[in-house]
Amino acid sequence: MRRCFPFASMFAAVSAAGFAQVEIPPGFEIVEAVVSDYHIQWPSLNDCGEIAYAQKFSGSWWTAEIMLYDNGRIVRITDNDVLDSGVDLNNSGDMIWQRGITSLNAHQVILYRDGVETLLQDGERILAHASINNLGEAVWSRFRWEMCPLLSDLYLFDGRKTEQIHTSELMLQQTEINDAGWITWMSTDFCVSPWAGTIQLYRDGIVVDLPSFHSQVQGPRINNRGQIVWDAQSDLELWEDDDTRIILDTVDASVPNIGDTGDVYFARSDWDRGTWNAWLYHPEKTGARLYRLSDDQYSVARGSVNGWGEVAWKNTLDNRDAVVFMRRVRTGDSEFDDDVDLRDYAVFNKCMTGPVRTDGLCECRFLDQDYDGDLDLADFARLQNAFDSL
Amino acid sequence: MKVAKIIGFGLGLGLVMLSLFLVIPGIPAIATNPNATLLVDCEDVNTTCFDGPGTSWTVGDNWNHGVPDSTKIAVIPADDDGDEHFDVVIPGSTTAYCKTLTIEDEGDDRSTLFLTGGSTLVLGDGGTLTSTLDGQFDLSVHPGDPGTLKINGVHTIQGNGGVIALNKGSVIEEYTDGDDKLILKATSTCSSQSCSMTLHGDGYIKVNFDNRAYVVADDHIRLENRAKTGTDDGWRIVNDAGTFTVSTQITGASAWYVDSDSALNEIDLIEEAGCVLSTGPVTLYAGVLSCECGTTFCTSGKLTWKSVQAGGGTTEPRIRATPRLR
Repeated sequence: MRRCFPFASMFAAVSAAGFAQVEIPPGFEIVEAVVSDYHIQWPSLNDCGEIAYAQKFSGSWWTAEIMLYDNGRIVRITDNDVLDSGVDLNNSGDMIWQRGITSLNAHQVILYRDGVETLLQDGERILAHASINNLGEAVWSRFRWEMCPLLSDLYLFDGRKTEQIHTSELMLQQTEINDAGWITWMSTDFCVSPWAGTIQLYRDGIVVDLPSFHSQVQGPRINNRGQIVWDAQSDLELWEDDDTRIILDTVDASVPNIGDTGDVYFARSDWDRGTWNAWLYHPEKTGARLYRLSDDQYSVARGSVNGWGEVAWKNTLDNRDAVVFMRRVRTGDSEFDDDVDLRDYAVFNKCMTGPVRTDGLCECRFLDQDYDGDLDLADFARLQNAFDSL
Repeated sequence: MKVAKIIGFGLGLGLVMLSLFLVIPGIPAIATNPNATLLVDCEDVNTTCFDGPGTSWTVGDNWNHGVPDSTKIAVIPADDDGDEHFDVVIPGSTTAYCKTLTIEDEGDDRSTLFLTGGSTLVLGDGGTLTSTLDGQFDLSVHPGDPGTLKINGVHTIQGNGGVIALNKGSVIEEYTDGDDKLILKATSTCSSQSCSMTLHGDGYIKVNFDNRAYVVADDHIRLENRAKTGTDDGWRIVNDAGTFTVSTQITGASAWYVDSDSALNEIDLIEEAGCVLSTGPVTLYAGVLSCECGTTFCTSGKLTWKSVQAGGGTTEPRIRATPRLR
C-alpha cells in the first residue's frame, strides 16, 4: 500500500543558546534547531544535517507527526490522525518510523522515500524500534508475546522484501543496522529477577552475545566502523574488534549514540543542578576527550551523531522541548581541512543555487555561510573574504 | 480453656460500654486532590521518565533514559497544561525495578501504573528512599493472578491524593529480609484522606509496615507476617463490606474505624496470631470486631461503639470473642 501525504512547512527558530560552562569542540557551534511547546521525541541526524523527529501537537500522542529539519527550515512530513513516532533517517533522506492506528502501541512500519509512504509491515503484535541504514535496509522487532514466557521476532527489509531473520524467547528491542548489514539489539529477560539484558549482534547470519561488565544493558547504537555503544546500568560500554570496554564508569550516564567518527554522545547526570547534561566522548590519537556540551537548567535526553561529528539532541524544561544542534561552523572551508582554497571554490561552483531557498543542500550547506538556505552571491562574497590559500 | 482476650479500651469491656456515645469526626471520602502539584519533573537527575507512546514499562523506547533499573528514578508524569497523562503497564509475569517511583497527578490528568497479574515491581535499592504517588498504582489487573510489590530497604511512599489499589490478592512484601520496611504517609502535613495516601482493596501486606496514611479494607486486606505499626496520622478503615484480617502484631497510634455502611464490615483477628497492642482510638459503627481464640486487641485509645442510622435502619455493631472449641 502506498500513501502520500501533503507537505506543510514552517521555519525553524534558530538562535544561539546560552551555555555558561560549555566546552564545544573546535569548529562547532550550538544552536536550537527546533523549539516546541509540545513533546518532541528523540532526533535522528544524517550526514546532510537533516534532523528527523516525531512531535506531538497536543498532550496526546495521537497528534504526533513526523517532522524534518533541513538547514533552518522545518517540514511536516505527516499530517494525519494516527500515531507516528520513532523515526530514523538515513543519508538519502529515507525515513522509517512506527505507526499506531488502533493502539498507542505501534503496529505498522512505514518507509518514507521520495515523498511517498510505503507500509512495510502491519500486524497486531507490538512493534519495537525501527532503524534504517544508508542502503535503505531496515530492521525492527515485534513481540509475539509480551508476558512471560516472552517471544520476539526480528525482521529485515533488504530494500525489496521483508523477512524474519531471528526469533528469540526473550524480548528483542532497540534494533539498529549499519551499512555493512550488521544488526545489533537489546535482548532482555524480564522473566527473571533481577531482569537481565544482553546486547546481541547479527553478523553474516550469526547471532552472538556481546560481552559486558554488567547484567542490565540497553540502548545499543552501531556505526559504520562496527563500533557499538550501549548503556550498562548508567556506565557506558563500547564494543569494537571483538572486545568490550567501559568508556565511562561514573554510573551517571545514559542514552548514548555513536557516529562514524567514533564520537559518542551521551546524557550525564549533573548532580549539582539536578538535571541531565549533554556530553561528547571524542576519540583522539592519544586517548579520548570529554566535552560538556550543555550546562544549564535544561535536561537532555537522546541524541544522534553524524559522520561530520555534528550532534543533535533533545532537551527539555517544563513544557518546552527543543532539538539542539551542534553543527559545523561555516567559514567557507567546505571540506574542513583548515583552509579556504581553490578546492572550496570548486565546490561552491558545483553547489551554487542562486538566491532561491533550496532543500537538501546536504554537504553544500557548509558553504551557505549566511544560513538562508541557498548558495548565492552573498555566500560567494563571504567565500572570497575568507579565501586564505591557493 | 483459652479465650480470646479483649483488653483495653480504657479499663476493659465494662467500661467500653460507657463510651458508646462518644464519637469522633467522620472520615472524608476517597477523593483525588485537584491541587496536587507536579513534584518531580522529567528533567531531574538520574531520572528516567515515561514518555510513550506505547504503554509497556519494559519497552526501552517508552522511557527517555531507558528502562528503569535499580539505579534510576522512574517517573510517570502527568501534565494538566499539556493535557497529558500515561497508563503504564508492567506486563504479566515480568519483574520490573526502579530506585524510586513517582506517579504524578495534575489537575484533570492522573497517571496510573498497572501491575499485570503475576508481575512484580521491586521498589528501592536497599537504602532509605522515598517514592511519591499522587496518581494511581494498581496491583494486578487482567488476568486473575496477583501482582507483587517488593520493598527493598526502608521505603517511604508519600502522596497527595495517591492511591495504591490491591486487587485479586496482590501482595506487598519484603525483597530481602525483615529490615525492609514500607512507610505510607502524606506528602504534606495534611491529615485528610484526600490529600494523603490511600491503600485499599484485596491483598496482603506482609512487609514491615508503618502506616501514617489511610489503609482501607473495602474488600479484604490481610495484615500478616512482619509487624505493623503506625502513627496517629494513620487510619485503618473498614467499609463497603470489607474485612481486615490480622494475623501479626500491630502497634502504634493509628486509628481503627469501622464504617456504618455495611453489617458485613469486619476486623478479624485470626486465631492464635493476631495481636493489637496499640494506643489509637477505635470506632465501631457496624459489623464485627472479632477476636478469635488466643488473640489480643488492646488499646489505650478511646472506643466509640455506637449504633447509628444507616441504610434505612439502625446498625448493630458487635464485638465478638470466640473461644477455642475442643
